[in-house]
Amino acid sequence: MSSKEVSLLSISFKQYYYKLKAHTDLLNRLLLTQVFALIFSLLGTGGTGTSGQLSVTFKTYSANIVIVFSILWIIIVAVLLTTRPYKQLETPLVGNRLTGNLSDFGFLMTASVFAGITSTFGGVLLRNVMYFISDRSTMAVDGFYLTFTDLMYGMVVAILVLVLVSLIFYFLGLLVQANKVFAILIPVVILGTLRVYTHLGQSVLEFYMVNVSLPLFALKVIITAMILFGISMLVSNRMEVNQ
Amino acid sequence: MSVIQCVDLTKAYGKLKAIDHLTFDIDENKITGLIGRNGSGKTTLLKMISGYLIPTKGELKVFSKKPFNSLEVSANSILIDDTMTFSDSLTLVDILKEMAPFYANWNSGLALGLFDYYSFNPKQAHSNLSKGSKSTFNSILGIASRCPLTIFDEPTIGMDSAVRKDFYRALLKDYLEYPRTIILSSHMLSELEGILEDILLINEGTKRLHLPALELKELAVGLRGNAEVVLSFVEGKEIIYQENFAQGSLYVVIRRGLIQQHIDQIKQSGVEVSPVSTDDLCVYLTSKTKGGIDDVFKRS
Repeated sequence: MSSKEVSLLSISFKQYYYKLKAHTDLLNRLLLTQVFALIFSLLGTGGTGTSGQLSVTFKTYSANIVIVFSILWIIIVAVLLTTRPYKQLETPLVGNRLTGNLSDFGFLMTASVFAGITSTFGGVLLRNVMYFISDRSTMAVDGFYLTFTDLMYGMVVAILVLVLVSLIFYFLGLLVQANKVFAILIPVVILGTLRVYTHLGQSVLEFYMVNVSLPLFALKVIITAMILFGISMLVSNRMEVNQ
Repeated sequence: MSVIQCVDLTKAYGKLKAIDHLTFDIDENKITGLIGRNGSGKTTLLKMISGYLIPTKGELKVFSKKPFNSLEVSANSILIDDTMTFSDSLTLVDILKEMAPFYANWNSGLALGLFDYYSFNPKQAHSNLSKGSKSTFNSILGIASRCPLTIFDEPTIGMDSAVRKDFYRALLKDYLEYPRTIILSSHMLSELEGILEDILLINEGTKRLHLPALELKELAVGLRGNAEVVLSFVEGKEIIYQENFAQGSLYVVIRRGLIQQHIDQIKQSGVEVSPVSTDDLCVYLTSKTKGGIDDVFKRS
Protein backbone atom coordinates (compact mmCIF):
# COMPACT_ATOMS: atom_id res chain seq x y z
CA MET A 1 0.00 0.00 0.00
CA SER A 2 1.53 3.29 -1.02
CA SER A 3 1.16 6.54 0.83
CA LYS A 4 -1.16 9.08 -0.68
CA GLU A 5 -0.50 12.64 -1.75
CA VAL A 6 -2.61 15.21 -0.01
CA SER A 7 -3.39 18.81 -0.78
CA LEU A 8 -2.78 21.47 1.80
CA LEU A 9 -5.86 23.48 0.89
CA SER A 10 -8.28 20.59 0.89
CA ILE A 11 -7.10 19.48 4.34
CA SER A 12 -7.31 23.06 5.61
CA PHE A 13 -10.89 23.34 4.37
CA LYS A 14 -11.79 20.02 5.99
CA GLN A 15 -10.33 21.23 9.27
CA TYR A 16 -12.23 24.51 8.86
CA TYR A 17 -15.57 22.72 8.43
CA TYR A 18 -14.72 20.48 11.36
CA LYS A 19 -13.97 23.50 13.53
CA LEU A 20 -17.21 25.25 12.55
CA LYS A 21 -19.03 22.29 14.04
CA ALA A 22 -16.69 21.68 16.96
CA HIS A 23 -16.64 25.32 18.11
CA THR A 24 -20.37 26.08 17.93
CA ASP A 25 -20.33 26.71 21.69
CA LEU A 26 -18.08 29.73 21.06
CA LEU A 27 -20.61 31.22 18.61
CA ASN A 28 -23.43 30.61 21.08
CA ARG A 29 -21.50 32.55 23.68
CA LEU A 30 -21.36 35.52 21.30
CA LEU A 31 -25.14 35.72 21.11
CA LEU A 32 -25.34 35.57 24.90
CA THR A 33 -22.77 38.36 25.18
CA GLN A 34 -24.71 40.52 22.74
CA VAL A 35 -27.98 40.04 24.57
CA PHE A 36 -26.27 41.29 27.73
CA ALA A 37 -24.81 44.22 25.82
CA LEU A 38 -28.27 45.12 24.47
CA ILE A 39 -29.73 45.07 27.97
CA PHE A 40 -26.99 47.47 29.07
CA SER A 41 -27.72 49.67 26.06
CA LEU A 42 -31.41 49.86 26.94
CA LEU A 43 -30.50 51.56 30.20
CA GLY A 44 -28.94 54.41 28.25
CA THR A 45 -26.66 57.10 29.61
CA GLY A 46 -28.37 60.07 31.18
CA GLY A 47 -27.52 63.74 31.60
CA THR A 48 -28.97 67.12 32.43
CA GLY A 49 -28.30 70.41 30.73
CA THR A 50 -29.23 73.80 32.20
CA SER A 51 -29.22 77.16 30.44
CA GLY A 52 -30.77 80.04 32.34
CA GLN A 53 -34.28 78.98 33.19
CA LEU A 54 -34.29 76.12 30.77
CA SER A 55 -33.33 72.69 32.03
CA VAL A 56 -33.13 69.67 29.80
CA THR A 57 -32.84 66.09 30.97
CA PHE A 58 -31.77 63.68 28.31
CA LYS A 59 -30.74 60.10 27.88
CA THR A 60 -28.53 58.80 25.12
CA TYR A 61 -29.01 55.31 23.79
CA SER A 62 -26.23 53.73 21.82
CA ALA A 63 -25.50 50.24 20.55
CA ASN A 64 -21.75 50.87 20.69
CA ILE A 65 -21.48 48.66 23.71
CA VAL A 66 -22.67 45.71 21.56
CA ILE A 67 -19.70 46.22 19.26
CA VAL A 68 -17.36 46.63 22.22
CA PHE A 69 -18.61 43.39 23.73
CA SER A 70 -18.24 41.64 20.38
CA ILE A 71 -14.63 42.81 20.18
CA LEU A 72 -13.98 41.49 23.68
CA TRP A 73 -15.58 38.21 22.63
CA ILE A 74 -13.43 37.84 19.51
CA ILE A 75 -10.30 38.55 21.59
CA ILE A 76 -11.24 35.71 23.93
CA VAL A 77 -12.02 33.38 21.02
CA ALA A 78 -8.74 34.18 19.26
CA VAL A 79 -6.67 33.55 22.36
CA LEU A 80 -8.66 30.41 23.24
CA LEU A 81 -7.97 28.91 19.80
CA THR A 82 -4.24 29.00 20.48
CA THR A 83 -4.51 27.27 23.85
CA ARG A 84 -3.76 23.63 24.39
CA PRO A 85 -7.33 22.30 24.83
CA TYR A 86 -8.36 23.79 21.50
CA LYS A 87 -5.17 22.83 19.67
CA GLN A 88 -5.62 19.30 21.02
CA LEU A 89 -8.85 18.98 19.07
CA GLU A 90 -6.73 18.93 15.90
CA THR A 91 -4.58 15.96 16.84
CA PRO A 92 -7.00 13.18 15.84
CA LEU A 93 -7.34 14.81 12.42
CA VAL A 94 -5.02 14.84 9.45
CA GLY A 95 -3.04 18.06 9.32
CA ASN A 96 0.03 19.99 10.32
CA ARG A 97 0.70 23.36 11.90
CA LEU A 98 -0.03 25.21 8.66
CA THR A 99 -3.45 23.61 8.11
CA GLY A 100 -4.22 24.15 11.79
CA ASN A 101 -3.46 27.87 11.52
CA LEU A 102 -5.23 28.26 8.19
CA SER A 103 -8.37 26.65 9.55
CA ASP A 104 -8.16 28.76 12.71
CA PHE A 105 -7.89 31.88 10.56
CA GLY A 106 -10.86 30.72 8.54
CA PHE A 107 -12.81 30.21 11.73
CA LEU A 108 -11.83 33.66 13.04
CA MET A 109 -12.91 35.31 9.75
CA THR A 110 -16.24 33.51 9.93
CA ALA A 111 -16.63 34.47 13.57
CA SER A 112 -15.81 38.10 12.71
CA VAL A 113 -18.36 38.22 9.90
CA PHE A 114 -20.95 36.61 12.15
CA ALA A 115 -20.19 39.01 15.03
CA GLY A 116 -20.06 42.01 12.69
CA ILE A 117 -23.48 41.26 11.23
CA THR A 118 -25.14 40.41 14.54
CA SER A 119 -23.74 43.42 16.36
CA THR A 120 -24.77 45.78 13.55
CA PHE A 121 -28.27 44.39 13.64
CA GLY A 122 -28.09 44.69 17.41
CA GLY A 123 -28.08 48.45 16.79
CA VAL A 124 -31.13 48.12 14.56
CA LEU A 125 -32.86 46.00 17.18
CA LEU A 126 -32.11 48.60 19.85
CA ARG A 127 -33.70 51.30 17.66
CA ASN A 128 -36.77 49.17 17.17
CA VAL A 129 -37.13 48.46 20.84
CA MET A 130 -36.66 52.15 21.70
CA TYR A 131 -39.22 53.14 19.08
CA PHE A 132 -41.87 51.05 20.75
CA ILE A 133 -41.08 51.45 24.44
CA SER A 134 -40.23 55.15 24.63
CA ASP A 135 -42.40 58.20 24.33
CA ARG A 136 -41.95 59.10 20.70
CA SER A 137 -42.91 62.73 21.19
CA THR A 138 -39.82 63.39 23.29
CA MET A 139 -37.41 61.51 21.05
CA ALA A 140 -34.68 63.31 19.18
CA VAL A 141 -34.33 61.57 15.87
CA ASP A 142 -30.76 62.57 15.25
CA GLY A 143 -29.05 59.42 14.07
CA PHE A 144 -32.16 57.38 14.71
CA TYR A 145 -32.96 56.56 11.13
CA LEU A 146 -30.18 54.62 9.46
CA THR A 147 -29.82 54.65 5.72
CA PHE A 148 -29.11 51.28 4.17
CA THR A 149 -25.69 52.49 2.96
CA ASP A 150 -24.74 53.58 6.47
CA LEU A 151 -25.87 50.25 7.83
CA MET A 152 -23.75 48.31 5.34
CA TYR A 153 -20.83 50.67 5.81
CA GLY A 154 -20.96 50.19 9.56
CA MET A 155 -21.20 46.44 9.14
CA VAL A 156 -18.17 46.18 6.88
CA VAL A 157 -16.10 48.37 9.18
CA ALA A 158 -17.18 46.32 12.20
CA ILE A 159 -16.18 43.10 10.44
CA LEU A 160 -12.79 44.49 9.38
CA VAL A 161 -12.07 45.71 12.91
CA LEU A 162 -13.02 42.31 14.32
CA VAL A 163 -10.78 40.51 11.80
CA LEU A 164 -7.86 42.77 12.63
CA VAL A 165 -8.30 42.43 16.39
CA SER A 166 -8.76 38.64 16.20
CA LEU A 167 -5.59 38.14 14.13
CA ILE A 168 -3.53 40.33 16.47
CA PHE A 169 -4.67 38.38 19.51
CA TYR A 170 -4.29 35.03 17.77
CA PHE A 171 -0.68 35.94 17.06
CA LEU A 172 -0.10 37.09 20.65
CA GLY A 173 -1.73 33.87 21.89
CA LEU A 174 0.63 31.81 19.73
CA LEU A 175 3.63 33.69 21.11
CA VAL A 176 2.53 32.87 24.65
CA GLN A 177 2.08 29.21 23.71
CA ALA A 178 5.54 29.14 22.12
CA ASN A 179 7.08 30.50 25.28
CA LYS A 180 5.29 31.39 28.49
CA VAL A 181 7.72 34.26 29.03
CA PHE A 182 5.68 36.22 26.50
CA ALA A 183 2.70 36.16 28.87
CA ILE A 184 4.63 38.66 30.99
CA LEU A 185 6.73 40.21 28.26
CA ILE A 186 3.88 41.27 25.95
CA PRO A 187 1.95 43.41 28.47
CA VAL A 188 5.22 44.85 29.78
CA VAL A 189 6.43 45.83 26.31
CA ILE A 190 3.09 47.24 25.19
CA LEU A 191 2.41 49.21 28.38
CA GLY A 192 6.04 50.30 28.59
CA THR A 193 6.14 51.55 25.01
CA LEU A 194 2.87 53.40 25.42
CA ARG A 195 4.17 55.09 28.53
CA VAL A 196 7.44 56.19 27.00
CA TYR A 197 6.08 57.08 23.57
CA THR A 198 2.73 58.48 24.58
CA HIS A 199 1.61 59.30 21.08
CA LEU A 200 2.41 55.90 19.61
CA GLY A 201 -0.89 54.28 20.51
CA GLN A 202 -2.79 57.22 19.10
CA SER A 203 -0.84 57.28 15.85
CA VAL A 204 -1.33 53.54 15.36
CA LEU A 205 -5.09 54.02 15.79
CA GLU A 206 -5.00 57.01 13.48
CA PHE A 207 -3.15 55.02 10.85
CA TYR A 208 -6.06 52.61 10.66
CA MET A 209 -9.07 54.66 11.64
CA VAL A 210 -8.75 58.35 10.90
CA ASN A 211 -9.36 59.98 7.54
CA VAL A 212 -9.29 56.85 5.48
CA SER A 213 -11.77 55.65 2.94
CA LEU A 214 -13.32 52.22 3.32
CA PRO A 215 -11.27 50.57 0.53
CA LEU A 216 -8.05 51.99 1.97
CA PHE A 217 -8.99 50.80 5.45
CA ALA A 218 -9.81 47.36 4.03
CA LEU A 219 -6.47 47.26 2.24
CA LYS A 220 -4.61 48.18 5.42
CA VAL A 221 -6.41 45.44 7.32
CA ILE A 222 -5.74 42.84 4.64
CA ILE A 223 -2.03 43.67 4.46
CA THR A 224 -1.73 43.61 8.25
CA ALA A 225 -3.59 40.29 8.29
CA MET A 226 -1.16 38.79 5.80
CA ILE A 227 1.85 39.97 7.79
CA LEU A 228 0.34 38.60 11.02
CA PHE A 229 -0.39 35.30 9.31
CA GLY A 230 3.17 35.05 8.03
CA ILE A 231 4.76 35.61 11.42
CA SER A 232 2.20 33.36 13.12
CA MET A 233 3.32 30.58 10.78
CA LEU A 234 6.98 31.21 11.60
CA VAL A 235 6.18 31.00 15.30
CA SER A 236 4.12 27.83 15.15
CA ASN A 237 6.03 25.88 12.53
CA ARG A 238 8.70 24.68 14.93
CA MET A 239 6.30 24.15 17.81
CA GLU A 240 5.84 20.60 19.01
CA VAL A 241 2.38 19.22 19.63
CA ASN A 242 1.97 18.87 23.35
CA GLN A 243 -0.72 16.72 24.72
CA MET B 1 9.97 -1.83 1.94
CA SER B 2 10.34 -0.36 5.38
CA VAL B 3 7.72 2.10 6.49
CA ILE B 4 9.72 3.46 9.41
CA GLN B 5 13.47 3.92 9.28
CA CYS B 6 15.13 5.08 12.41
CA VAL B 7 18.89 5.61 12.65
CA ASP B 8 20.65 6.73 15.82
CA LEU B 9 17.51 8.56 16.94
CA THR B 10 17.82 10.61 20.10
CA LYS B 11 15.25 12.74 21.86
CA ALA B 12 16.48 14.68 24.83
CA TYR B 13 14.59 16.80 27.31
CA GLY B 14 17.42 18.85 28.76
CA LYS B 15 19.89 16.29 30.09
CA LEU B 16 17.38 13.47 30.24
CA LYS B 17 17.40 11.30 27.15
CA ALA B 18 13.94 9.85 26.54
CA ILE B 19 15.20 8.09 23.42
CA ASP B 20 18.88 7.29 23.25
CA HIS B 21 20.56 6.34 19.95
CA LEU B 22 17.78 4.08 18.80
CA THR B 23 18.13 2.30 15.46
CA PHE B 24 15.53 0.06 13.88
CA ASP B 25 13.41 -0.51 10.77
CA ILE B 26 9.76 -1.46 10.66
CA ASP B 27 8.58 -3.26 7.58
CA GLU B 28 5.40 -2.65 5.65
CA ASN B 29 2.22 -4.50 6.59
CA LYS B 30 3.51 -6.02 9.81
CA ILE B 31 2.04 -5.86 13.28
CA THR B 32 4.80 -4.81 15.63
CA GLY B 33 4.53 -4.72 19.38
CA LEU B 34 6.44 -1.91 21.06
CA ILE B 35 7.13 -3.25 24.51
CA GLY B 36 8.77 -1.44 27.38
CA ARG B 37 8.41 -0.56 31.01
CA ASN B 38 6.85 2.64 32.28
CA GLY B 39 8.96 5.61 31.21
CA SER B 40 11.02 3.60 28.75
CA GLY B 41 10.31 6.08 25.94
CA LYS B 42 7.50 4.30 24.10
CA THR B 43 5.17 7.28 23.89
CA THR B 44 7.97 9.70 22.99
CA LEU B 45 9.02 7.42 20.16
CA LEU B 46 5.47 7.06 18.85
CA LYS B 47 4.90 10.83 19.00
CA MET B 48 8.05 11.41 16.97
CA ILE B 49 6.89 8.86 14.41
CA SER B 50 3.52 10.63 14.22
CA GLY B 51 5.24 13.97 13.68
CA TYR B 52 4.27 15.63 16.97
CA LEU B 53 7.78 15.90 18.36
CA ILE B 54 11.09 16.88 16.73
CA PRO B 55 13.95 14.42 17.10
CA THR B 56 16.94 15.98 18.88
CA LYS B 57 19.49 13.98 16.89
CA GLY B 58 19.60 11.18 14.39
CA GLU B 59 17.40 10.33 11.48
CA LEU B 60 13.78 9.30 11.44
CA LYS B 61 11.89 8.63 8.22
CA VAL B 62 8.28 7.56 7.88
CA PHE B 63 7.22 6.69 4.32
CA SER B 64 10.70 8.04 3.40
CA LYS B 65 9.74 11.49 4.76
CA LYS B 66 10.71 13.33 7.89
CA PRO B 67 7.51 13.08 9.92
CA PHE B 68 7.70 16.31 11.96
CA ASN B 69 4.98 18.69 10.82
CA SER B 70 4.54 16.67 7.62
CA LEU B 71 1.09 16.72 6.10
CA GLU B 72 1.74 13.61 4.08
CA VAL B 73 2.81 11.53 7.06
CA SER B 74 -0.17 12.84 8.98
CA ALA B 75 -2.54 11.84 6.17
CA ASN B 76 -1.14 8.32 6.11
CA SER B 77 -0.87 7.65 9.80
CA ILE B 78 -3.00 7.86 12.90
CA LEU B 79 -1.97 7.78 16.54
CA ILE B 80 -4.58 6.41 18.90
CA ASP B 81 -3.96 7.10 22.57
CA ASP B 82 -5.89 8.08 25.67
CA THR B 83 -5.19 11.81 25.28
CA MET B 84 -7.34 12.18 22.15
CA THR B 85 -9.94 14.86 22.76
CA PHE B 86 -13.04 15.93 20.92
CA SER B 87 -15.27 18.96 21.25
CA ASP B 88 -18.31 18.63 23.49
CA SER B 89 -20.33 20.08 20.62
CA LEU B 90 -19.92 16.77 18.81
CA THR B 91 -21.72 13.59 19.79
CA LEU B 92 -20.03 10.21 19.38
CA VAL B 93 -21.82 9.59 16.09
CA ASP B 94 -20.85 13.09 14.91
CA ILE B 95 -17.21 12.26 15.60
CA LEU B 96 -17.39 9.13 13.45
CA LYS B 97 -19.01 11.19 10.70
CA GLU B 98 -16.56 14.10 10.95
CA MET B 99 -13.43 11.93 11.00
CA ALA B 100 -14.39 10.19 7.76
CA PRO B 101 -13.45 12.95 5.26
CA PHE B 102 -9.92 13.16 6.68
CA TYR B 103 -8.94 9.56 6.11
CA ALA B 104 -8.99 8.29 2.55
CA ASN B 105 -9.52 4.63 3.48
CA TRP B 106 -12.10 5.27 6.21
CA ASN B 107 -14.56 2.41 6.53
CA SER B 108 -17.81 3.86 7.91
CA GLY B 109 -19.62 0.54 7.75
CA LEU B 110 -17.06 -1.00 10.03
CA ALA B 111 -17.00 2.04 12.33
CA LEU B 112 -20.77 2.01 12.80
CA GLY B 113 -20.79 -1.78 13.13
CA LEU B 114 -18.28 -1.70 15.96
CA PHE B 115 -20.05 1.31 17.48
CA ASP B 116 -23.31 -0.65 17.65
CA TYR B 117 -21.57 -3.80 18.83
CA TYR B 118 -20.14 -2.03 21.88
CA SER B 119 -23.58 -0.40 22.37
CA PHE B 120 -22.42 3.18 22.75
CA ASN B 121 -25.00 5.89 23.26
CA PRO B 122 -24.92 7.87 19.97
CA LYS B 123 -25.88 11.13 21.70
CA GLN B 124 -23.13 11.03 24.32
CA ALA B 125 -20.17 13.42 24.32
CA HIS B 126 -16.66 11.97 24.17
CA SER B 127 -15.54 13.69 27.36
CA ASN B 128 -18.28 11.99 29.40
CA LEU B 129 -17.12 8.48 28.52
CA SER B 130 -15.49 6.37 31.20
CA LYS B 131 -11.81 5.56 30.84
CA GLY B 132 -12.45 2.10 29.41
CA SER B 133 -15.20 3.28 27.07
CA LYS B 134 -12.96 6.09 25.84
CA SER B 135 -10.25 3.56 24.95
CA THR B 136 -12.84 1.39 23.25
CA PHE B 137 -14.22 4.28 21.23
CA ASN B 138 -10.74 5.47 20.24
CA SER B 139 -9.86 1.94 19.14
CA ILE B 140 -12.83 2.05 16.74
CA LEU B 141 -11.32 5.18 15.17
CA GLY B 142 -7.98 3.41 14.84
CA ILE B 143 -9.42 0.35 13.16
CA ALA B 144 -11.91 2.14 10.90
CA SER B 145 -9.38 4.74 9.67
CA ARG B 146 -7.43 1.96 7.92
CA CYS B 147 -4.36 4.20 7.79
CA PRO B 148 -1.30 2.71 6.08
CA LEU B 149 0.43 3.29 9.41
CA THR B 150 -1.82 2.76 12.41
CA ILE B 151 -0.31 3.34 15.84
CA PHE B 152 -1.97 2.39 19.09
CA ASP B 153 -0.33 3.72 22.25
CA GLU B 154 -1.55 1.66 25.19
CA PRO B 155 -4.89 1.06 23.48
CA THR B 156 -6.35 -1.21 26.13
CA ILE B 157 -6.03 1.12 29.13
CA GLY B 158 -9.12 0.70 31.28
CA MET B 159 -10.78 -1.88 29.00
CA ASP B 160 -12.23 -4.93 30.70
CA SER B 161 -10.93 -8.29 29.58
CA ALA B 162 -13.92 -9.08 27.33
CA VAL B 163 -13.52 -5.81 25.43
CA ARG B 164 -9.74 -6.28 25.21
CA LYS B 165 -10.22 -9.66 23.56
CA ASP B 166 -12.81 -8.21 21.20
CA PHE B 167 -10.44 -5.39 20.30
CA TYR B 168 -7.55 -7.72 19.46
CA ARG B 169 -9.87 -9.91 17.43
CA ALA B 170 -11.42 -7.00 15.53
CA LEU B 171 -7.98 -5.55 14.82
CA LEU B 172 -6.65 -8.86 13.55
CA LYS B 173 -9.69 -9.56 11.38
CA ASP B 174 -9.60 -6.14 9.76
CA TYR B 175 -5.83 -6.42 9.33
CA LEU B 176 -6.23 -9.69 7.44
CA GLU B 177 -8.85 -8.12 5.21
CA TYR B 178 -6.90 -4.90 4.73
CA PRO B 179 -3.20 -5.37 5.55
CA ARG B 180 -1.38 -2.33 6.91
CA THR B 181 1.48 -1.47 9.20
CA ILE B 182 0.35 -1.52 12.81
CA ILE B 183 2.31 -0.63 15.93
CA LEU B 184 0.87 -1.56 19.30
CA SER B 185 2.54 -0.33 22.44
CA SER B 186 1.74 -2.09 25.64
CA HIS B 187 3.15 -3.70 28.71
CA MET B 188 0.75 -6.61 28.61
CA LEU B 189 2.69 -8.73 26.17
CA SER B 190 1.01 -12.02 27.16
CA GLU B 191 -2.30 -10.82 25.71
CA LEU B 192 -0.79 -9.37 22.57
CA GLU B 193 1.42 -12.30 21.73
CA GLY B 194 -1.21 -13.98 19.58
CA ILE B 195 -1.42 -11.15 17.07
CA LEU B 196 2.11 -9.75 17.02
CA GLU B 197 4.52 -10.65 14.27
CA ASP B 198 7.48 -8.64 15.52
CA ILE B 199 8.44 -7.41 18.92
CA LEU B 200 10.51 -4.31 19.59
CA LEU B 201 11.59 -4.16 23.19
CA ILE B 202 12.97 -0.87 24.42
CA ASN B 203 14.34 0.10 27.79
CA GLU B 204 15.46 3.54 28.93
CA GLY B 205 15.27 4.77 25.36
CA THR B 206 17.51 2.10 23.91
CA LYS B 207 16.69 -1.01 21.96
CA ARG B 208 16.94 -4.30 23.84
CA LEU B 209 15.51 -6.63 21.22
CA HIS B 210 13.84 -6.49 17.82
CA LEU B 211 12.84 -9.88 16.54
CA PRO B 212 9.89 -11.97 15.41
CA ALA B 213 7.53 -12.89 18.23
CA LEU B 214 8.08 -16.61 17.64
CA GLU B 215 11.83 -16.26 18.15
CA LEU B 216 11.31 -14.42 21.39
CA LYS B 217 9.41 -17.41 22.75
CA GLU B 218 12.41 -19.64 22.05
CA LEU B 219 15.03 -17.14 23.11
CA ALA B 220 15.60 -18.16 26.72
CA VAL B 221 15.16 -21.05 29.11
CA GLY B 222 14.77 -21.19 32.87
CA LEU B 223 16.89 -23.55 34.96
CA ARG B 224 15.75 -24.46 38.44
CA GLY B 225 17.59 -26.72 40.84
CA ASN B 226 20.37 -26.97 43.36
CA ALA B 227 22.32 -23.72 43.35
CA GLU B 228 25.74 -25.29 42.94
CA VAL B 229 24.69 -27.57 40.12
CA VAL B 230 22.91 -24.81 38.25
CA LEU B 231 25.80 -22.40 38.67
CA SER B 232 28.27 -24.94 37.37
CA PHE B 233 26.45 -24.92 34.06
CA VAL B 234 26.00 -21.17 33.71
CA GLU B 235 29.38 -20.11 35.08
CA GLY B 236 30.91 -17.30 33.02
CA LYS B 237 27.86 -16.94 30.81
CA GLU B 238 25.54 -13.95 30.66
CA ILE B 239 22.70 -14.51 33.08
CA ILE B 240 19.46 -12.70 32.25
CA TYR B 241 17.79 -13.23 35.59
CA GLN B 242 18.58 -14.97 38.84
CA GLU B 243 16.38 -15.67 41.82
CA ASN B 244 17.27 -17.52 45.02
CA PHE B 245 14.79 -19.83 46.69
CA ALA B 246 14.81 -21.59 50.02
CA GLN B 247 17.05 -24.61 50.69
CA GLY B 248 19.80 -23.60 48.31
CA SER B 249 17.56 -23.77 45.29
CA LEU B 250 18.25 -21.35 42.44
CA TYR B 251 16.33 -20.20 39.37
CA VAL B 252 18.33 -18.83 36.48
CA VAL B 253 17.19 -17.51 33.11
CA ILE B 254 19.73 -17.72 30.31
CA ARG B 255 19.78 -17.53 26.52
CA ARG B 256 18.98 -20.91 25.04
CA GLY B 257 21.85 -20.66 22.58
CA LEU B 258 24.44 -20.51 25.36
CA ILE B 259 23.57 -23.88 26.87
CA GLN B 260 22.11 -25.66 23.85
CA GLN B 261 24.91 -28.27 23.73
CA HIS B 262 24.64 -29.15 27.40
CA ILE B 263 20.86 -29.34 27.60
CA ASP B 264 20.72 -33.15 27.99
CA GLN B 265 23.49 -33.12 30.55
CA ILE B 266 21.62 -30.44 32.52
CA LYS B 267 18.42 -32.42 32.50
CA GLN B 268 20.21 -35.55 33.70
CA SER B 269 21.76 -33.71 36.62
CA GLY B 270 18.31 -33.11 38.07
CA VAL B 271 17.96 -29.49 37.06
CA GLU B 272 14.51 -28.57 35.84
CA VAL B 273 14.54 -26.89 32.40
CA SER B 274 11.46 -24.81 31.60
CA PRO B 275 10.43 -22.33 28.94
CA VAL B 276 10.19 -18.68 29.98
CA SER B 277 7.03 -16.78 29.15
CA THR B 278 7.71 -13.80 26.90
CA ASP B 279 6.04 -11.52 29.42
CA ASP B 280 8.46 -12.55 32.16
CA LEU B 281 11.39 -12.49 29.79
CA CYS B 282 10.68 -8.90 28.82
CA VAL B 283 10.50 -7.93 32.48
CA TYR B 284 13.83 -9.66 33.16
CA LEU B 285 15.47 -8.05 30.14
CA THR B 286 14.42 -4.59 31.19
CA SER B 287 15.03 -4.79 34.93
CA LYS B 288 17.87 -2.75 36.39
CA THR B 289 19.12 -5.44 38.77
CA LYS B 290 19.50 -9.14 38.23
CA GLY B 291 17.55 -10.13 41.34
CA GLY B 292 14.45 -7.99 40.84
CA ILE B 293 12.48 -6.48 43.71
CA ASP B 294 13.87 -9.09 46.12
CA ASP B 295 17.20 -7.27 46.18
CA VAL B 296 15.55 -4.32 47.85
CA PHE B 297 14.41 -6.46 50.75
CA LYS B 298 17.71 -8.29 51.09
CA ARG B 299 19.60 -5.08 51.68
CA SER B 300 17.35 -3.84 54.46
